[in-house]
Formats: sequence, C-alpha cells, structure tokens
Amino acid sequence: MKVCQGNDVLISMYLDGELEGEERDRLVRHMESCEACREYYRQMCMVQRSIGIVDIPPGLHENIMKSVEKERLKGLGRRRRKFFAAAVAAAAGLFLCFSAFTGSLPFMKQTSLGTEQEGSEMAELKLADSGEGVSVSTYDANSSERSAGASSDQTAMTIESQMAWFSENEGDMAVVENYAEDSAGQMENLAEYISDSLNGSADGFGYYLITEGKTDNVPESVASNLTDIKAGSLIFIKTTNSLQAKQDIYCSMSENGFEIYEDSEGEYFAIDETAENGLLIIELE
Amino acid sequence: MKDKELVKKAKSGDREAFEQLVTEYEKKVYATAYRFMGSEADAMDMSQEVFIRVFRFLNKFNEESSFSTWLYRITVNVCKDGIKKRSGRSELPLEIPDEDNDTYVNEISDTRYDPSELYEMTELKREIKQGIDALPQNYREIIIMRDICGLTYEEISRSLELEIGTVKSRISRARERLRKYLLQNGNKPTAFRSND
Repeated sequence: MKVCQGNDVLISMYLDGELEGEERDRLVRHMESCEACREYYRQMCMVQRSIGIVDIPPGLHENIMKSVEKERLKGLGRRRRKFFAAAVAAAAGLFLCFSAFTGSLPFMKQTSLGTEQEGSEMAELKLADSGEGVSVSTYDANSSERSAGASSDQTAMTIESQMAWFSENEGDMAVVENYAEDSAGQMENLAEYISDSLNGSADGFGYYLITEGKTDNVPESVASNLTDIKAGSLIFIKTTNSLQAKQDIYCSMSENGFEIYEDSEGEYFAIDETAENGLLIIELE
Repeated sequence: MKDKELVKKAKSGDREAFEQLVTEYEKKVYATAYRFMGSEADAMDMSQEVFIRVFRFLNKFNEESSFSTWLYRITVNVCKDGIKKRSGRSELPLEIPDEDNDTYVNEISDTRYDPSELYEMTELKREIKQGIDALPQNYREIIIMRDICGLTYEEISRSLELEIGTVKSRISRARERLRKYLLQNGNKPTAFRSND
C-alpha cells in the first residue's frame, strides 16, 4: 500500500508542526480512515526520531572545554605581547628605540627590515611582482596623501588608510611589509581589528576573507611570485565577488595550511554582496 | 538558568556560564556533526571547532535570533567547511537527484556492535547511519538541520537561501529516501516492517 499522492509532503509537514488550520484537520481526518497514510506517518515518525539517536562518546565535554581554554589562553597571549610592546615603546619614548630592542625580545616579530623603522618612518606599502595580467601601482607611505590629521610622529599605518588607498587605486594587490600587530598597538585580534576597520571604509568590496599563514605557502592560484615577501607582512588581494571565487580561494588557502578567520556564523565577512570585488587579506607569519 | 542570562554572563567573561552553555548544547552539536561527517573522530573535531568559534565570536552575537539558532548555524557551517576540507576542492551544492534514481553511494560506515544493546536498536542505529551517509549532501544537510538542530522551515529557508516550498519538498524527499533505504535492506527492523 502506498501513501496517497500528495500526502507524503503534507505528512512530513505535519510531523514538523508546520501544517496548520484546515489543511491539518483534513489530513488528520484522512489518516483516521486511510491505513496506508497512517502507516506512512508512523514510519516517518520513526525516521525522524532515529536520526537523533547518536551515541555520545565519553570525554566530549572535557575535549570541548580544553579546546576553548586553549583558545582563551591564545587570546591572552596576544594581549600580553601587545601590552609589553606598548610598555617598551612608551618607556623608550620613540619608535626609533623599538628596533634596538628587537634582538633581545624574542616574542616580538622579527623582520629583516626592522632597522629601517626609524623616527617617524612608516612601513612602506609596495607591490609584489604580481605576474601577468595583474595591474600594480605603488604607494608612498610618506607622501602627503596620508590621511589628514596624521601626525609626523605616527608610526603605525592604519589598516583604514591602507584600505582607503587600495579602494581608490587601480591595483589588484598590495603588500605592507613590516606590519606588526603589536606596533599597530590597536587591537588584540587581527580579524576583529580588520573587520572593525573595514566596515564602512572599504567601498566597493563585497566580501573579505582574512587568513594567516606561512610566507611560502601562498598558493600560486591565489597570487603568484610572492616568495620574496617577508614574514610579518600583510597582503591585500582583490578578487572577484562570486560564490565560486570565494569557495575556490577558501579551499586553496586552507589546503595550504592557512588559518582562516570568519565571522561568527562561519561566513565570509560581507559588506555588499552586489559589489564587483571581494578582498583577500593575508597575514604572513 | 535561561539561555539569555547565560549568554549575557558568558559575554562578560563568566566561565561557568559559558561552560553551562556548552553542557546544554554539546550533545546536539555532536549529533549534528556526527550525522554530517559520518565519523566519531571528525564529529569530535567539529564539535570542538564549533565551541571555539562560539567562544571567539560570542561578543558579536547580537541576539536577533535565539542562541540555539545561532549555534546551530555555526555548527552547520563548520561541518560544511569540514566536508569541503576533507574532500579537497570546493563543491557547488549538489543538484537535486533524479527522483527515480535509487542508486545509493555506499560509503564505509562505522559498524560498531554493542552486544549489550537490544538487537533491534543496534540494527536500527546502524541502518540509519548508513542511510544518512548514503544521502546526497543537500538532503543530508537539510534533514540534519530539521531533525537534529530543530530549525524551523523558515530558518532553514533563510539559511540555505531556498524557497520555503523547496525546503518542504526536500525534507519530505530526504525522509522518504531514508525510509526506502531502511525497507530495502535485508535486515528490516520491526519498527519499519510495513505492508509495502
């Protein structure tokens, strides 16, 4: 005996409490007199109940709490480094002194261009050789194009000013060398920082994906010729704002060992899904 | 203590409150992950990842939806990411399979057998697992969101960006596939013996 035509969906909805009023009453009356539909309903109840029957392994709770605790301590570690870096900078008084201490402070990021950070010089924004078909342009961090109000003592290029430049120019890729989260001194969490900085300031970008990983692991399919980029740099890469492009980049980066920051629902941070461009932000360790 | 109060306390750094939230939802999160991933080890990894994200982003939870809805959306997304990573290249959502196609992909399933359990229940569990593992991903996903996470049709529709009508019919078809699978196999647990 088969369920009456059309009643399979109705019975499924009834099971889920999604059938209401007259439609529900009609189905209930029908099942009172139709054995096939009644049996179908009974079997659907079993299917629904059975899906939830899963053996819970011992140690689930402990494993979860251990992971969360590890995550909590990771966050504390970043805050401590930031605090210490800020304290050293304050005690020294000048960004000039920061590089003199880098050798003896093992938890601060070492960069090969550290000795160039003197006085009020800022990390230079320059573009890697991005290969055929990708347009590039340069940005002089010390030029007057810096945002109004930035004092000559300001030693950290903000993400906001970088993004504003990037949006306005034609380039497809930008590299900021010597980017150090601690010297930026603003946020303890890169993803949160960029997210807060980008909201409202990255016009024209439909989404951004933030990743963190090793210099030499950036896949060629994402960006070619990036092997010369120093650890501690940030790379911004314009991408196509499409579901396929997002998924491809996501998979390429995660397959190559990059940690990917996402928003709370596991989605890519998004501003405007109708925009032409997306943005991939890579922090190189 | 209700979710709202626990969430508020957890947001302000109360570790006990956070742990209570974990205790309340860990089993359903695990069950969801297990149904998605098909293995205990992967389900354990996914469950941990889910709560790491909850911990990381709890302050961004704006309470427009209920905490459970927010949590289960994270769970589904973590599992989908897990499947993507496990299978390599990203996969576009599968097409709805041909209704007449009864060929199932028979993945290797975990066939633990606990002699202390009633034979019927053990068999049923195993058959259900095999049946769910054999479902195309889009069917598996929707049936998990409905029958384990308890999301409403409306929530599923928004989450998967599907029309409500599609949600209704897809859930029905997923259940029908499972029902057929259980009836087709040699061992027919009493619960599923029918006059078909």
